[in-house]
Amino acid sequence: MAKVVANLSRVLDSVRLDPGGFADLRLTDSQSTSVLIRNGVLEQTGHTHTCGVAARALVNGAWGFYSTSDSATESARFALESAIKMARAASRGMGEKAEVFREWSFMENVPLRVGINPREIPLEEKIKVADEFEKNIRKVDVRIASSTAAVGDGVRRDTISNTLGTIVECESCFVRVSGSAISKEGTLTQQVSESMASTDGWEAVERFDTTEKGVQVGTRARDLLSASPPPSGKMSVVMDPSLVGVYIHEAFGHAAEADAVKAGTSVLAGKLGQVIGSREVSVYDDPTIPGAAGSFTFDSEGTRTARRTIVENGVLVGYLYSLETASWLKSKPNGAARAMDFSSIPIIRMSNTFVGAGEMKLEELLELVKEGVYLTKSYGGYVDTVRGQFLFSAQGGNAIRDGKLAESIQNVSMSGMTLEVLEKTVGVGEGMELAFPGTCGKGGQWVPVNGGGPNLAVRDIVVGGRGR
Amino acid sequence: MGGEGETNMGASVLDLCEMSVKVAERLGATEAEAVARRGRQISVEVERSAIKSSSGGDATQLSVRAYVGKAMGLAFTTAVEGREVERTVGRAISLARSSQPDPNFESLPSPGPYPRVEGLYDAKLVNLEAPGLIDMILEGVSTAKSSPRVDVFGGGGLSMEGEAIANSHGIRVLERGTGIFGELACKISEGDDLGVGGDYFAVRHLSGADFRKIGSEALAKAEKNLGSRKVESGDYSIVLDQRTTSRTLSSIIGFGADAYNVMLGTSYFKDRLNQAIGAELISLRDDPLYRAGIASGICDAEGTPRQVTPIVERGVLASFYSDSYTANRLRVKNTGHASRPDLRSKPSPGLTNTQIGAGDASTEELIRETRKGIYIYDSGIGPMAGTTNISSMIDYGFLIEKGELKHSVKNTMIGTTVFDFLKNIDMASKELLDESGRISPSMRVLIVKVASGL
Repeated sequence: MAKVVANLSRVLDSVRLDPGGFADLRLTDSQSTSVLIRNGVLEQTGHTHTCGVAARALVNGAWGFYSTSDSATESARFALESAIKMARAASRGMGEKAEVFREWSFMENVPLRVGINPREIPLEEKIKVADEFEKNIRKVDVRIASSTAAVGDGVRRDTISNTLGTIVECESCFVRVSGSAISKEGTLTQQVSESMASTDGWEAVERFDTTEKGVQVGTRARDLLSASPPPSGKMSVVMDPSLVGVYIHEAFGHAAEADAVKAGTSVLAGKLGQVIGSREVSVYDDPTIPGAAGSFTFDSEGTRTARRTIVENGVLVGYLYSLETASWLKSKPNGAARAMDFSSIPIIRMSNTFVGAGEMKLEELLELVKEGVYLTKSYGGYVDTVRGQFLFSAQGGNAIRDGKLAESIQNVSMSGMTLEVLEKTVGVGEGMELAFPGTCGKGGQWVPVNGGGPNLAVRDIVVGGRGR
Repeated sequence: MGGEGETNMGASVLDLCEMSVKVAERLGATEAEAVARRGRQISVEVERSAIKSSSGGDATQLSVRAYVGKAMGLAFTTAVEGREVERTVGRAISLARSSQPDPNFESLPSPGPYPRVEGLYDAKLVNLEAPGLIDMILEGVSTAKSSPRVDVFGGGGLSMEGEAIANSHGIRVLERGTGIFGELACKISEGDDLGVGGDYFAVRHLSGADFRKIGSEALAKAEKNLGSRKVESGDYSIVLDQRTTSRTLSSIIGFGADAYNVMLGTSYFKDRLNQAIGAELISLRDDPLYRAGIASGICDAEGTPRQVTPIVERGVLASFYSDSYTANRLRVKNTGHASRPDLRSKPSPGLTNTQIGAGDASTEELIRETRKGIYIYDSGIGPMAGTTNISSMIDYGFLIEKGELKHSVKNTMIGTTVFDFLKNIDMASKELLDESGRISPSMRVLIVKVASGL
């Protein structure tokens, strides 16, 4: 690796940039395997190897980027020269000149630190895990029309070097087990899913109980067949930690990404220091949680990551920053610029986003809202950060009547407005669980994240069902 | 590397595929397939009504599916120099040997006569570099930026790609394609009020790229979006603009008519072939042979010749769409719909250019004849994660009262089922929107549940 670093440094040293200019090179090499079993049939075993080099250049205040799948040294030079050419082209129509934060640089080598490297696990073992999980889902009921289990893992190595002196080599690992069931009766079809993802090694897969989780997935899919149609209208909602994870990610997290703030496409622009929600609510994004799906040590610009407090007791106190946006907002970078792979430009992304714990028990939250719905297990969501309008979906839940859980309800989506939701949060539960290990899409790039919190009670959420 | 001439971009990927198949067979594969893509792309980002960045890239991708008996291994790589190709093929075979037989697999497809599809490649686009693209985008930005209260964002890009497929049964196909896209959005701030609107295009030829038009449309939509409000919850009719109709019917019918979902038993149209699945007004076909269509091509992702496939005719389900795997399993004709957006995964059926039949009303009539409704534009409505429930947010819409468009709506959702949705379509427009082969009218759906924040 020393040779690779020396090569990247030599290429960077060879370019002449104007004062205020900046350039970086990132060499990424990742290998992953995947196993997919559906309805008892092993449908796919796959191996992926992606490698290449990416260059960025800031010339006259405009950005250029170039990537190539050829990772030889001469390709790094070609990529950098191309990025400079791209930046010069961009400068012909640019507005305000971009700058980068220049006060820090990092020199560090972070080797893979996991108990069991998943690359050392034989394929047969991975197939066995998927097979057991899938069988346990399927065996619950004959009305499980389709059951799927997948096991995936990957090891990635990034080498990042820039003209500020940063030289970072970083290895990371990812494992995921996911399963889903589609239940069917007559014309009604319901689907549920469950996943575990971790930046720990294979030991995280060994901790995953395929029997217990498989039966849970199958049971939930079966039970939804006798659940009531979801309601429609504005109502109080109590969410479980999985739903809180996607809710806070969509409703709030994306709007707190400083690239949206700088671009003028976030409703949170200009609101730092303002009260935007109930005093009970604090929101964090923390990529330093050991083993969590959204954790990483250095971002794709070579900045060491840090825990970020976004909302503290209802006050907006911070954003997620890159080198550029930290400079623009006179703040400090907090390692939030992530690139999906070598061919992707680093953009600001969340990591593990959650609501801080409160003190109320679930029963107290139900009693607080009296009437409404208790919704569980997320399907995902999306947000329009410009208008602050978001959607998120639940796999199922229960009606709440007179402060108690009542009949089960089917899957349903909800929507709300970013600047309204935090002030309508009326109760924060005890404890905190990261319970939504998913992937987040932005700008065509998908990166692993996690989300969660305690149970949460929110008033006036629009529920898009078809009942009542 | 980008230094390679684009004109021979295709030939070298075809050589790569043929070599990979031969190596796989030499190493013990009973059947093998290789797909390779080599492409170059440029994109430009617009932020606060100015150019923010310009990006480019080139990449080669190789994906090898190797079968040992009925067991499959798939290996993907972006490293194709030196011995990397042989290593990749070796990994695919090694995975197949460690894998288990798939009883549903019969064989990879064989070649057939390939249709001729015109207009997929534009040499002028190949010669366009970042400065030229930026000039075009700036014309659109300047059209949209009508006053200081308007902010323009979005961008554009172009791509050129050669894709080759070879397999053990003699398939040996090479296709080249180009594309250019643009997307501009406007944000208008008036005190606390905010109006947002956007427009886009995706075409095969430089001559079809019109950034001024999308800049102008984005501005008009943002102006109309000002003053958006929540509405009363209740039962409404919905009128879908052409884009929303296209996305929505492609999503709902696309899931139900997908032969893979039928094979799994999860399709809500599983037992409905040749039966009514919705209103008579619905006719939908898939046309991958459309001249210069954005999803057109001579063969699917496995090398099976493309064909036009009627899927719904006057409300009756006419056909499922399939790839070789599902066609063999279901004992139906392979319609040539293998799709592979990502070469890391094996193919599965996917639609190309969906074309929805016209009605006989005008779009104005659809609105005029609606007493209480919502006109939905630039949105998509679809079933939730493979279920029969629809629970979607209206991204952009207007309240309709007594046949007239009132104000823009926000924080508003609709809830229904796929069956009720298809059954309750009662009007379609005679005007069709043709977006590079995706063709659709506007449609009205009677009675869906609307929930909003008022």
